[in-house]
Amino acid sequence: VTLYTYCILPGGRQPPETLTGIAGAAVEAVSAGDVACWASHLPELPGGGADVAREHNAVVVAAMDREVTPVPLRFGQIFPDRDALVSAVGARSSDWLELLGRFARRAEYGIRVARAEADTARDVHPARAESGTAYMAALARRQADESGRREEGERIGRLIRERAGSLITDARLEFAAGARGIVSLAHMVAWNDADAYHALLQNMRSEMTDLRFLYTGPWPPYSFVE
Amino acid sequence: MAEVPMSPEDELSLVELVNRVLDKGAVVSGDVTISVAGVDLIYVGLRLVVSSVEAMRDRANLGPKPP
Repeated sequence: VTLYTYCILPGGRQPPETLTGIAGAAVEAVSAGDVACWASHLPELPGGGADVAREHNAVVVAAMDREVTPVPLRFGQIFPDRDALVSAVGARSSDWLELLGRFARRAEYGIRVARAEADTARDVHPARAESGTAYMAALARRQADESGRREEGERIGRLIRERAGSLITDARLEFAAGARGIVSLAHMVAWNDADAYHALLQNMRSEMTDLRFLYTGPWPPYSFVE
Repeated sequence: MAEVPMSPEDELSLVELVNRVLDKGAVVSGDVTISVAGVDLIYVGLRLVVSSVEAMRDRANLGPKPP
Protein backbone atom coordinates (compact mmCIF):
# COMPACT_ATOMS: atom_id res chain seq x y z
CA VAL A 1 0.00 0.00 0.00
CA THR A 2 1.31 3.44 -0.87
CA LEU A 3 0.16 7.02 -0.36
CA TYR A 4 -0.41 8.77 -3.66
CA THR A 5 -0.37 12.59 -3.52
CA TYR A 6 -2.39 15.19 -5.47
CA CYS A 7 -1.99 18.71 -4.09
CA ILE A 8 -1.07 20.94 -1.15
CA LEU A 9 -3.63 23.16 0.59
CA PRO A 10 -3.86 25.36 3.67
CA GLY A 11 -4.13 23.26 6.83
CA GLY A 12 -7.63 22.11 7.73
CA ARG A 13 -8.99 21.96 4.17
CA GLN A 14 -10.84 18.64 3.96
CA PRO A 15 -11.85 16.94 0.69
CA PRO A 16 -15.56 16.25 0.08
CA GLU A 17 -16.52 12.83 1.47
CA THR A 18 -17.64 11.65 -1.96
CA LEU A 19 -14.43 12.68 -3.74
CA THR A 20 -12.47 9.83 -5.31
CA GLY A 21 -9.04 9.88 -6.91
CA ILE A 22 -6.82 7.43 -8.77
CA ALA A 23 -8.59 4.10 -9.37
CA GLY A 24 -11.62 5.32 -7.41
CA ALA A 25 -9.69 5.53 -4.13
CA ALA A 26 -10.95 7.80 -1.33
CA VAL A 27 -9.11 11.08 -0.85
CA GLU A 28 -7.97 12.27 2.57
CA ALA A 29 -6.19 15.34 3.92
CA VAL A 30 -2.86 14.54 5.59
CA SER A 31 -1.84 17.41 7.87
CA ALA A 32 1.79 18.53 7.83
CA GLY A 33 2.38 21.63 9.93
CA ASP A 34 0.42 24.57 8.55
CA VAL A 35 -0.55 22.81 5.33
CA ALA A 36 -2.40 19.67 4.27
CA CYS A 37 -1.67 17.27 1.45
CA TRP A 38 -4.58 15.53 -0.26
CA ALA A 39 -3.66 11.89 -0.83
CA SER A 40 -5.08 8.41 -1.43
CA HIS A 41 -4.06 5.01 -0.11
CA LEU A 42 -3.50 2.82 -3.17
CA PRO A 43 -3.14 -0.95 -3.02
CA GLU A 44 -0.73 -0.86 -5.96
CA LEU A 45 1.20 1.65 -8.02
CA PRO A 46 -0.84 3.57 -10.59
CA GLY A 47 -0.20 2.92 -14.26
CA GLY A 48 0.09 5.65 -16.84
CA GLY A 49 -2.22 7.01 -19.49
CA ALA A 50 -4.80 9.67 -19.96
CA ASP A 51 -7.34 8.19 -17.53
CA VAL A 52 -5.10 8.41 -14.49
CA ALA A 53 -3.97 11.89 -15.56
CA ARG A 54 -7.65 12.88 -15.62
CA GLU A 55 -8.25 11.30 -12.21
CA HIS A 56 -5.25 13.11 -10.72
CA ASN A 57 -6.37 16.43 -12.16
CA ALA A 58 -9.98 15.94 -11.03
CA VAL A 59 -8.86 15.83 -7.39
CA VAL A 60 -6.75 18.98 -7.77
CA VAL A 61 -9.65 20.77 -9.48
CA ALA A 62 -11.98 19.68 -6.67
CA ALA A 63 -9.63 21.43 -4.24
CA MET A 64 -10.02 24.78 -6.05
CA ASP A 65 -12.54 27.42 -5.18
CA ARG A 66 -12.76 31.18 -5.59
CA GLU A 67 -10.66 31.78 -2.47
CA VAL A 68 -8.19 28.90 -2.34
CA THR A 69 -6.06 27.57 -5.18
CA PRO A 70 -4.02 24.48 -4.29
CA VAL A 71 -0.40 23.84 -5.17
CA PRO A 72 -0.80 21.05 -7.75
CA LEU A 73 1.64 18.17 -7.43
CA ARG A 74 3.13 16.42 -10.41
CA PHE A 75 1.60 13.08 -11.32
CA GLY A 76 3.10 9.93 -9.86
CA GLN A 77 4.50 10.96 -6.47
CA ILE A 78 3.97 8.30 -3.85
CA PHE A 79 5.17 7.76 -0.30
CA PRO A 80 5.53 4.52 1.62
CA ASP A 81 3.55 5.76 4.63
CA ARG A 82 2.02 8.77 6.35
CA ASP A 83 5.16 9.61 8.36
CA ALA A 84 7.28 9.85 5.21
CA LEU A 85 4.70 12.12 3.57
CA VAL A 86 4.33 14.38 6.62
CA SER A 87 8.10 14.68 6.91
CA ALA A 88 8.64 15.56 3.21
CA VAL A 89 5.76 18.04 2.99
CA GLY A 90 6.43 19.60 6.39
CA ALA A 91 10.09 20.20 5.52
CA ARG A 92 8.97 22.73 2.87
CA SER A 93 6.05 24.24 4.76
CA SER A 94 7.15 27.84 4.19
CA ASP A 95 7.51 27.23 0.43
CA TRP A 96 3.97 25.84 0.23
CA LEU A 97 2.53 28.75 2.21
CA GLU A 98 4.28 31.26 -0.04
CA LEU A 99 2.86 29.57 -3.15
CA LEU A 100 -0.63 29.28 -1.66
CA GLY A 101 -0.57 33.01 -0.92
CA ARG A 102 0.53 33.79 -4.47
CA PHE A 103 -2.11 31.53 -6.05
CA ALA A 104 -5.08 32.49 -3.88
CA ARG A 105 -8.14 33.74 -5.81
CA ARG A 106 -6.38 33.01 -9.14
CA ALA A 107 -6.26 30.28 -11.79
CA GLU A 108 -4.02 29.37 -14.71
CA TYR A 109 -5.19 29.89 -18.29
CA GLY A 110 -3.46 28.50 -21.36
CA ILE A 111 -3.10 29.85 -24.88
CA ARG A 112 -1.59 27.98 -27.81
CA VAL A 113 -0.67 30.29 -30.65
CA ALA A 114 -0.22 28.79 -34.10
CA ARG A 115 -0.09 29.93 -37.69
CA ALA A 116 -3.47 29.80 -39.40
CA GLU A 117 -1.85 28.03 -42.35
CA ALA A 118 1.00 25.53 -42.23
CA ASP A 119 4.11 26.96 -43.87
CA THR A 120 5.24 23.86 -45.73
CA ALA A 121 8.21 25.66 -47.26
CA ARG A 122 9.56 26.22 -43.75
CA ASP A 123 8.64 22.77 -42.52
CA VAL A 124 12.08 21.40 -43.19
CA HIS A 125 13.05 17.77 -42.63
CA PRO A 126 16.85 17.46 -42.83
CA ALA A 127 16.62 13.69 -42.33
CA ARG A 128 14.95 13.39 -45.73
CA ALA A 129 17.78 15.17 -47.51
CA GLU A 130 19.39 13.07 -50.22
CA SER A 131 22.96 14.35 -49.91
CA GLY A 132 25.26 15.79 -47.30
CA THR A 133 25.05 19.26 -48.86
CA ALA A 134 21.26 19.14 -48.93
CA TYR A 135 21.28 17.95 -45.32
CA MET A 136 23.43 20.90 -44.20
CA ALA A 137 21.26 23.35 -46.13
CA ALA A 138 18.07 21.89 -44.64
CA LEU A 139 19.58 22.02 -41.17
CA ALA A 140 20.47 25.70 -41.64
CA ARG A 141 16.93 26.48 -42.82
CA ARG A 142 15.46 24.66 -39.84
CA GLN A 143 17.67 26.58 -37.41
CA ALA A 144 16.73 29.90 -39.03
CA ASP A 145 13.05 28.93 -38.87
CA GLU A 146 13.27 27.99 -35.19
CA SER A 147 15.04 31.22 -34.40
CA GLY A 148 12.37 33.25 -36.22
CA ARG A 149 9.61 31.32 -34.53
CA ARG A 150 11.10 31.99 -31.10
CA GLU A 151 11.29 35.72 -31.81
CA GLU A 152 7.69 35.68 -33.00
CA GLY A 153 6.59 33.73 -29.92
CA GLU A 154 8.35 36.15 -27.58
CA ARG A 155 6.83 39.11 -29.42
CA ILE A 156 3.31 37.69 -29.11
CA GLY A 157 3.86 36.87 -25.44
CA ARG A 158 5.11 40.41 -24.75
CA LEU A 159 2.23 41.99 -26.68
CA ILE A 160 -0.41 40.09 -24.71
CA ARG A 161 1.22 40.96 -21.40
CA GLU A 162 1.52 44.63 -22.32
CA ARG A 163 -2.13 44.85 -23.31
CA ALA A 164 -3.35 42.79 -20.36
CA GLY A 165 -1.40 44.85 -17.82
CA SER A 166 -2.42 43.88 -14.31
CA LEU A 167 -4.96 41.31 -15.56
CA ILE A 168 -2.05 38.87 -15.79
CA THR A 169 -0.18 38.45 -12.52
CA ASP A 170 2.34 35.88 -13.76
CA ALA A 171 3.22 34.28 -17.10
CA ARG A 172 5.16 31.36 -18.58
CA LEU A 173 6.15 30.78 -22.19
CA GLU A 174 7.13 27.63 -24.07
CA PHE A 175 8.03 27.38 -27.73
CA ALA A 176 5.89 25.04 -29.78
CA ALA A 177 6.87 22.42 -32.34
CA GLY A 178 5.36 21.52 -35.70
CA ALA A 179 4.72 23.35 -38.96
CA ARG A 180 2.11 25.66 -37.42
CA GLY A 181 2.95 25.94 -33.73
CA ILE A 182 4.60 29.11 -32.47
CA VAL A 183 4.24 29.40 -28.74
CA SER A 184 2.35 28.08 -25.74
CA LEU A 185 1.55 30.63 -23.04
CA ALA A 186 0.34 30.17 -19.46
CA HIS A 187 -1.11 33.09 -17.51
CA MET A 188 -2.19 33.51 -13.91
CA VAL A 189 -5.39 35.51 -13.78
CA ALA A 190 -7.64 36.43 -10.85
CA TRP A 191 -11.11 34.86 -11.02
CA ASN A 192 -12.56 38.36 -10.85
CA ASP A 193 -10.56 39.41 -13.94
CA ALA A 194 -11.28 36.33 -16.06
CA ASP A 195 -14.02 37.99 -18.16
CA ALA A 196 -11.87 41.03 -18.95
CA TYR A 197 -8.92 38.75 -19.80
CA HIS A 198 -11.02 36.73 -22.24
CA ALA A 199 -12.47 39.87 -23.84
CA LEU A 200 -8.92 41.13 -24.42
CA LEU A 201 -7.90 37.85 -26.04
CA GLN A 202 -10.96 37.88 -28.29
CA ASN A 203 -10.00 41.37 -29.47
CA MET A 204 -6.45 40.25 -30.21
CA ARG A 205 -7.71 37.21 -32.10
CA SER A 206 -9.86 39.39 -34.34
CA GLU A 207 -6.83 41.63 -35.06
CA MET A 208 -4.30 38.86 -35.77
CA THR A 209 -6.09 36.86 -38.42
CA ASP A 210 -2.92 35.11 -39.62
CA LEU A 211 -2.71 33.34 -36.26
CA ARG A 212 -4.85 30.81 -34.44
CA PHE A 213 -5.42 31.27 -30.72
CA LEU A 214 -6.55 28.18 -28.82
CA TYR A 215 -7.59 28.82 -25.23
CA THR A 216 -7.83 26.39 -22.33
CA GLY A 217 -8.53 26.78 -18.65
CA PRO A 218 -9.09 27.53 -15.91
CA TRP A 219 -6.43 25.11 -14.67
CA PRO A 220 -4.77 24.57 -11.32
CA PRO A 221 -1.42 26.41 -11.56
CA TYR A 222 0.66 23.46 -12.79
CA SER A 223 2.86 25.72 -14.92
CA PHE A 224 3.80 28.01 -12.03
CA VAL A 225 5.52 25.57 -9.69
CA GLU A 226 8.81 23.73 -9.89
CA MET B 1 -21.38 0.83 -27.46
CA ALA B 2 -19.57 2.55 -30.35
CA GLU B 3 -16.78 4.93 -29.42
CA VAL B 4 -17.49 8.58 -30.06
CA PRO B 5 -14.55 10.25 -31.86
CA MET B 6 -12.88 13.09 -29.98
CA SER B 7 -13.41 16.58 -31.33
CA PRO B 8 -10.29 18.74 -31.95
CA GLU B 9 -11.28 20.75 -28.87
CA ASP B 10 -11.40 17.57 -26.77
CA GLU B 11 -8.06 16.45 -28.16
CA LEU B 12 -6.51 19.82 -27.39
CA SER B 13 -7.88 19.73 -23.85
CA LEU B 14 -6.49 16.23 -23.36
CA VAL B 15 -3.06 17.23 -24.67
CA GLU B 16 -3.06 20.29 -22.40
CA LEU B 17 -4.14 18.18 -19.43
CA VAL B 18 -1.54 15.47 -19.97
CA ASN B 19 1.20 18.07 -20.54
CA ARG B 20 0.37 19.75 -17.28
CA VAL B 21 -0.24 16.72 -15.07
CA LEU B 22 2.75 14.67 -16.26
CA ASP B 23 5.29 17.38 -16.98
CA LYS B 24 4.47 20.14 -14.53
CA GLY B 25 3.30 20.56 -10.99
CA ALA B 26 5.34 20.64 -7.82
CA VAL B 27 7.74 17.90 -6.80
CA VAL B 28 7.47 17.39 -3.04
CA SER B 29 10.96 16.08 -2.54
CA GLY B 30 13.81 14.83 -4.67
CA ASP B 31 13.68 11.60 -2.70
CA VAL B 32 10.31 10.22 -3.70
CA THR B 33 9.37 7.15 -5.62
CA ILE B 34 7.77 7.89 -8.94
CA SER B 35 5.47 5.79 -11.06
CA VAL B 36 4.80 7.27 -14.46
CA ALA B 37 3.12 5.58 -17.39
CA GLY B 38 4.27 2.08 -16.64
CA VAL B 39 7.80 3.13 -15.78
CA ASP B 40 7.31 2.02 -12.20
CA LEU B 41 9.50 2.70 -9.24
CA ILE B 42 11.99 5.10 -10.72
CA TYR B 43 13.95 6.17 -7.68
CA VAL B 44 14.93 9.77 -7.98
CA GLY B 45 17.95 11.18 -6.24
CA LEU B 46 17.85 14.32 -4.16
CA ARG B 47 17.13 17.49 -6.18
CA LEU B 48 16.83 15.55 -9.41
CA VAL B 49 13.91 16.79 -11.42
CA VAL B 50 11.54 14.11 -12.49
CA SER B 51 10.48 14.00 -16.12
CA SER B 52 7.38 12.59 -17.67
CA VAL B 53 7.49 9.96 -20.35
CA GLU B 54 6.71 12.69 -22.86
CA ALA B 55 9.76 14.68 -21.86
CA MET B 56 11.94 11.60 -21.86
CA ARG B 57 10.83 10.82 -25.39
CA ASP B 58 11.63 14.36 -26.44
CA ARG B 59 15.11 14.09 -25.04
CA ALA B 60 15.60 10.68 -26.62
CA ASN B 61 14.87 12.24 -30.00
CA LEU B 62 18.24 13.83 -30.51
CA GLY B 63 17.39 15.18 -33.92
CA PRO B 64 17.86 13.88 -37.42
CA LYS B 65 20.80 11.73 -38.40
CA PRO B 66 22.86 12.84 -41.40
CA PRO B 67 22.11 10.81 -44.53
